[in-house]
Amino acid sequence: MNIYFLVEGQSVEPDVYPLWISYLVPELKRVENFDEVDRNNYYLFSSYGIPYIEKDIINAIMDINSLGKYNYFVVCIDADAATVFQREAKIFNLIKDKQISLANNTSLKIIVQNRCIETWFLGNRKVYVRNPQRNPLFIKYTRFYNRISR
Amino acid sequence: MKIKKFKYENKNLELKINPINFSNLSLLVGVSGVGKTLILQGILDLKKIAQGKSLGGVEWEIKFAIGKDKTNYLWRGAFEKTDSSDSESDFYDYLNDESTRPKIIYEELYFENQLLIERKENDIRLKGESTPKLSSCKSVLNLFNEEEIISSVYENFNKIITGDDSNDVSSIGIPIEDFNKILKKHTTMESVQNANIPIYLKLALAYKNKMEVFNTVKENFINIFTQVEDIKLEPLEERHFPYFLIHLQIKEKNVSKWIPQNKISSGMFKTLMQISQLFLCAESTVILIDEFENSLGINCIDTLTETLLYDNRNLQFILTSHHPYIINAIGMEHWKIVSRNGGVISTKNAEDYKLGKSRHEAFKQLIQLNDYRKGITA
Repeated sequence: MNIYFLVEGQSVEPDVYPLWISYLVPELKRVENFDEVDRNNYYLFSSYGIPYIEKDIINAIMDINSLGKYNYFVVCIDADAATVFQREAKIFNLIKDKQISLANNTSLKIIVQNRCIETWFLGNRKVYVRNPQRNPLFIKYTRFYNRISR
Repeated sequence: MKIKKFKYENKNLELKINPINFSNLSLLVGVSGVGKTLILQGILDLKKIAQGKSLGGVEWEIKFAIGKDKTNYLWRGAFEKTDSSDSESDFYDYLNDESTRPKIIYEELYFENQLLIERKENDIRLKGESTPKLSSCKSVLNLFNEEEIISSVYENFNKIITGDDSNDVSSIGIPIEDFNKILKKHTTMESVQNANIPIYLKLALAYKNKMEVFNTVKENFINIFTQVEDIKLEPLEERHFPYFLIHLQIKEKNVSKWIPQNKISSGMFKTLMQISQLFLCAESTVILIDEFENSLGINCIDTLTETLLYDNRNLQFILTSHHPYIINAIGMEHWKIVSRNGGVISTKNAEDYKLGKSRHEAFKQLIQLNDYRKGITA
C-alpha cells in the first residue's frame, strides 16, 4: 500500500503525521520524493497554507496519475470556520471544475481537521486539562475549538 | 572572470564554507540565517585580499577562469588566526602598522595547473625564482599586480561587484570641467563599461555621448514601467553652478512636464540603476546580489533572465533569494540549496535531491526538503 499525503500546514502536520504513522502503521515507510514509492511507502507534501492548497491538489493528482503506484491520496485540511461538509465539497468541486480525476487504482480520502489540527491536541489530557483556566476569554476559545464536548 | 569553485574558512569566526561549484548563474536558496549572505561576503573577502587587505583567520581556495580563452587559475592561501572575532579591521590600515596586521602563512597561485607563485610566510617564489622580501600581510596578487601574468588576475578580482554598488549615487555633482574630460575620455561603450566610476555617471556618459547602450537601458526600463515615455540625464536648466549636476528626469505618458529625480519613486530609480549595471558593467564582471527581491526587484527578473540568456559579455551572477516568485522564475538547475550545521555551511544542487520530476511548482518542491525546512542544525 502506498499513500500520498497532502497536508495543509507547514509546521504542525509535517511533524505530527509522520509520528502518528510511525505508531499506527509502522510498516509504512516515508520516501523523500513522490516517485520513490514502491511497496508500503508514503510521501508527504506540505502545502504551506490554504490559499495554495487548491493548486497543489491538482498538481498532486497529476503526479499520482503519472506514477500509477498510489493506493490512496489523502488530503488533510483544517475546517477553520467552515463545516466538514463544506470543506469536502470544495475539494470535490475543485476536482470536478478542473476536469481532472484520479486514476482508477487511487482512492481519494479527505481528512478535515475540525476545526484545525491543533484542536485535536485538546483531546490529549497530558497536554490539556479539562478546565485549566478561569479566564473567560480562554473558556470562550475552548468552547469554540473543543469539538469533543459538543 | 568566472568563479568555478570556492572554498572558505574564517578561523576567527569559526566559520567554514564547504566547496561550492558555481556556474554563470547561481541562486543561493535557504531559510533565513542559514549563511547565504556569508557566502557572498566570503567571495568579497577574496576581492579585499587581492586588493591588499589582511584578513586574520581567513583560509581560502578559489578556482576561476579568465578571458575569452577561459584560462584556468587556482588561488589559495591562509592568514594567521588572530584573537579578534572580526577578521577585518580598518584600524590596522589606519595605523598602517605592518607589525599588528595578520600575516599570510601560505599562498599559491596556479595557472593551468602550473605553479606560478608559491609563498611560505615571507619566502615568495615567482615562477620558481626567489623575490626580494616584501610585505608579509599582503597577497601576492596585490604585491605583483603590475607583473604581466598577475595583473589580469588582480584586475579580474576588482570586477567582483555587489548589487548594492549600483545604488551609489554619491557623485551626482561633478565640476563641469572634470565632467567634460571624462566625457571626452569615454567615447566608446567598452570604455564606459571598463571605467572605474559610479554607475550613475556611466549612465550619464552613455546618454551624453548618445550611445546605443543608453537606448537599451531605456527600453528595458520602459518595458518594466510602461507609463514612462522617455528618460534623460541633464542638468536642471534654471540652475547655473560650476558643477555639472546630473539630474535624471523621466517623461511619463500624458504628463507634459519632465519629472525631476527627487520626485521619481525610489523603487523606479533603483531599478534603473540596476538595469544600467547589467548593461554598463565591465565584461566578465561577477555580480553578487543579496536578497534579489529587495534589490533588483521582482519586476526586473525578466530583464535579468533575458540578459543572461543572450549574454555575450561573460557576466556571472551569484544571487540569494527567499522569494517564491524569484525561486520559481530561476530554473532549479541554477539553485544552490544552502544548509548549515553549527559554523559549517554546505550547499547542494537540486539534482542531489532529485527535484524536478514533480508537477508541483519549483518553490513548493524546494520547501518540502528537510534540508530547507530544517536548514540550520546545531
